[in-house]
Amino acid sequence: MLPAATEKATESRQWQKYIAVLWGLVLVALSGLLGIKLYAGNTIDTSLMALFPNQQHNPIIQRAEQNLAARYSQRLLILVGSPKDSVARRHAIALGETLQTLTHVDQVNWQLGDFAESATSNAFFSRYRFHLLNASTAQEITQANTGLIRDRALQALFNPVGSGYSSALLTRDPFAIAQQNLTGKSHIPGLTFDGKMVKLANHQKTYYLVFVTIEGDPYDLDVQHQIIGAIDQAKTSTTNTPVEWLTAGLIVHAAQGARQAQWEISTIGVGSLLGIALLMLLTFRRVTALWLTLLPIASGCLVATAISMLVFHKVHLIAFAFGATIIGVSIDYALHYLCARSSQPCAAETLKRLLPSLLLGMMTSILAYSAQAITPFPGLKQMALFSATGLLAAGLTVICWFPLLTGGKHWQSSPPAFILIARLRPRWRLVRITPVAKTWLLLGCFALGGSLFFLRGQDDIRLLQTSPKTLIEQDIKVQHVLRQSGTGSFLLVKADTIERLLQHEETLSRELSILRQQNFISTYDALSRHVPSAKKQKENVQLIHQLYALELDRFYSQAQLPDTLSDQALSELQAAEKQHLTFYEWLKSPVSADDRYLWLGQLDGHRYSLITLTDADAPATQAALKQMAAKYAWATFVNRVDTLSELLGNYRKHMTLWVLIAVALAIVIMILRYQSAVWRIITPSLMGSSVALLLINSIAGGINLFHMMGLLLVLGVGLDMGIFLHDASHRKETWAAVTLSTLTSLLAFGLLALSKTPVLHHFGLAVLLGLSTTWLITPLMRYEAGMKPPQKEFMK
Amino acid sequence: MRLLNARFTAIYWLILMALFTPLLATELPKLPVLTENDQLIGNFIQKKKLATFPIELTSKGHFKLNLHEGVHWVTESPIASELRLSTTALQSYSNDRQVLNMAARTQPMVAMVAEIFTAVLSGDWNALEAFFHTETSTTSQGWHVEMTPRDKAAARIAHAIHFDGEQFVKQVTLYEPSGDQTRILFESIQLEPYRASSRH
Repeated sequence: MLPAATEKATESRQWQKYIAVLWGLVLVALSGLLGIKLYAGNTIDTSLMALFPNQQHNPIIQRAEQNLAARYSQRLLILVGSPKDSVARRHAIALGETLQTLTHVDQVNWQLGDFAESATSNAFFSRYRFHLLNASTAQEITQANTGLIRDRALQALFNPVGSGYSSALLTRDPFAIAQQNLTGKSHIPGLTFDGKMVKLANHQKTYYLVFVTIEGDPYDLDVQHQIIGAIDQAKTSTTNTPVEWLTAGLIVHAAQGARQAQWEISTIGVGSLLGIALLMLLTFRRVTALWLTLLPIASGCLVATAISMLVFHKVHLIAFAFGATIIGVSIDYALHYLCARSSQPCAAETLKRLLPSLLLGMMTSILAYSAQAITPFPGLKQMALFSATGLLAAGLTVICWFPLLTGGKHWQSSPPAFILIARLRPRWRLVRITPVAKTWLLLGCFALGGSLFFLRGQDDIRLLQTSPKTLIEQDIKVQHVLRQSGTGSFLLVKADTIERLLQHEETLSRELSILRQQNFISTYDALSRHVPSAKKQKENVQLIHQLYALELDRFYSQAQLPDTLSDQALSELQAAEKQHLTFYEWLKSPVSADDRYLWLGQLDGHRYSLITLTDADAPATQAALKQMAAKYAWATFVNRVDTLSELLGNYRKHMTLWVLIAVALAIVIMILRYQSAVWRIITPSLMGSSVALLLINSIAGGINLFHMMGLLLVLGVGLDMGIFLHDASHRKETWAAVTLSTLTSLLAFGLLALSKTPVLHHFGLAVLLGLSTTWLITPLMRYEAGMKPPQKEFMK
Repeated sequence: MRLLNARFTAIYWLILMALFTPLLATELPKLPVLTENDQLIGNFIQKKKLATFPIELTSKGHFKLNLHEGVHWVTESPIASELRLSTTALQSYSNDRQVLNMAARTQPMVAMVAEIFTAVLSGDWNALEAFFHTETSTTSQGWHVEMTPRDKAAARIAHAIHFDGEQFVKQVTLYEPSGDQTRILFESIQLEPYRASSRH
């Protein structure tokens, strides 16, 4: 080597060192910042509502959903059924007793909250007995059926035992209104009490209820392990006896999800990791090569997380997860570098030759991903920033560090695997573009492009549910028989004052009662069922006056009791009617503990409440409820399934649009460099994506957001592939790099197609189909030997 | 009301069980075998001593029990009311008007009553002991059984139930938590051939 050249090489090596140290400092600074952010806590967002565009972000709906979710998440309902009553009872008691001893169980009840009777709640409701008159008794009075009320009271008075009619009631509440009010509360057909337990029976089986309140987070693995473990043990003890176990509650689904995830991590996850490691080790025969390929990904994720948290304060879990997979594309940069290095004597020279392709590949990918930042969806914005900064950082890691890290002579050695990969390359290619070939090609493109118009969107959120069908069906069954409200749809009521709010609810209640009679819904729950409006309470007391005027004297005379009791009863009614039940008194009392979630509080001077519905999922019911709510300006019908599906659909549409725009931009940039040869670079990834879309459309019955996310990855890897191959004139090292990058991406993401978690499965399927097709088409684009690819040297 | 009715029926059967209990001191009494061809009939006087007023409410009536229709508890005065309990339904009538109707199909409590019914007829005390502690003693006139509830739910119905009898039970007294006392006196109990009921 000439002295000048040596000097120049030393100088550039010096430069490289400076750059490497600088980049190292940047990474250290960013990890420091990230550390501080993480230490401050609360930086990861998991709320689905955070993914809605700001205008659609309704804090009241959010509050309602939180209330419903909190209720659902801490409850676990277990029904133990058997054709033999005693068998079911025994197993239910045994399970309940086991659960009671667990640290993560707050309490085990044998009754649902609504039915739990206590001295305090009885005293509370007895004080307001006349104000809280139940609907069926009120109806008996208005329909002049007061004789029935009297007969019922007389019979209770003379029943030998246990009718609950004590002599104290004779003047305080002669018609046992308080007792009637309590009766009206349980409206579950087939439900009774056996001892202290709730029992349900149908034609074939008797079920006993075990109602568990969970202490701790249902997503916590310890909590799941303890509680679900105890239930599983109980189940296995009855494998040979005809005992049916029905469970409902978030923890059941969370545990199933965790179990599935664990299983998949230990099969798909370990499989793909082992596959990638084995691939790298077999190809490069060096452990350091494996670390080097992972280094850009790691630093990319670090920078992306730090910057995203600086910009957004809170990063959504979904943005984080998908952003990180997209950064996985950057394994390309490392692979291309290492493959190129294997045939180059000098590390610096390797980078210099690779740099134009690397920069262009990075630019197009970053462009494609950052395009999503323009959409109104917070999730996509975060993902855009995350993946763009991550890719940039990964690329910079390769540029700044790799020449120094691969300075050793041993890096220049073409591994035998390269030759093998090159041999396996399909021999066919598009030779010269004859007019016939051109026509066929154009026709093919038109056919493919045209068929894309037949793609359908499939955004139903229910198809993305992780839990297996049997678990969901159990949940629905338990909720149905116990008349527990579903969390899928509900009504929101808005008013200026509490009194108005309750009156509005009563208006809706009248319509809901009709819907219930017509079997559209099984039941509903509202604040006004617990605290009627002051107006309604006054009306109720008036009805009691009416009842007394008609029946009181007759009651005493038929019972052969002195008529002096009549005056006493009237004065007790007058004393009781003075004080009606106020909303806030109810809210503060322990009796409202189970129903407070219906109250949504105040916002901007308005009061809000929630009306829950049971068995309201049928389309006809949904339509009826929508129609009902539309009549009132203060009522809103919320269907979470529809809202979430719509959200997914909107995300998908925006994503598709911006991906198309990004691809168009990338094409424009590439035309500047490759001119007419651009089709050789973009055709494989575009055709691969199109084929994948068509296949998915027929396999999955439509395209959803997660397919589009997968295709984003396919486009990123595919365009890189085209650029690198074209720039290196399809050399065997580059082909090896392309093949390796395809294989690693397929192992890392394509294998997810085997997952039973729908979101991962869809994502993996798109990557699998798109990437493998792209890779198969790529060799077609080779030039004939000796033909020089046209390109502008805009980078020197 | 349902809760109370469930309790009520449990105790109700208890009384009936005691009714047909022959004298057998210190041991839980053995019960007569009621066949499909027989039925038991008798009269009762019920005296309810009220805790809040110095009043005793007295009612009178008759009852009937057979394997086909279950039990009819008919109050004749001062009001007319009838309670019918069978393995398929619980119905009560006042002046020939139905006040209450529960089918066993939708109300398993009725099926439970039927279970206790069978338990009583076959002398299966275990079913009843799930709810009550039992103590039996002999007196100069005959025998005395005291039952106390095992759990709070049963205690809400009665603190204690006392049975007195010679050849048959003569009197049942219920001590209710409110302080009220209900005493039922039985008269002219007899076994006769079963005849299908005409009504309902």
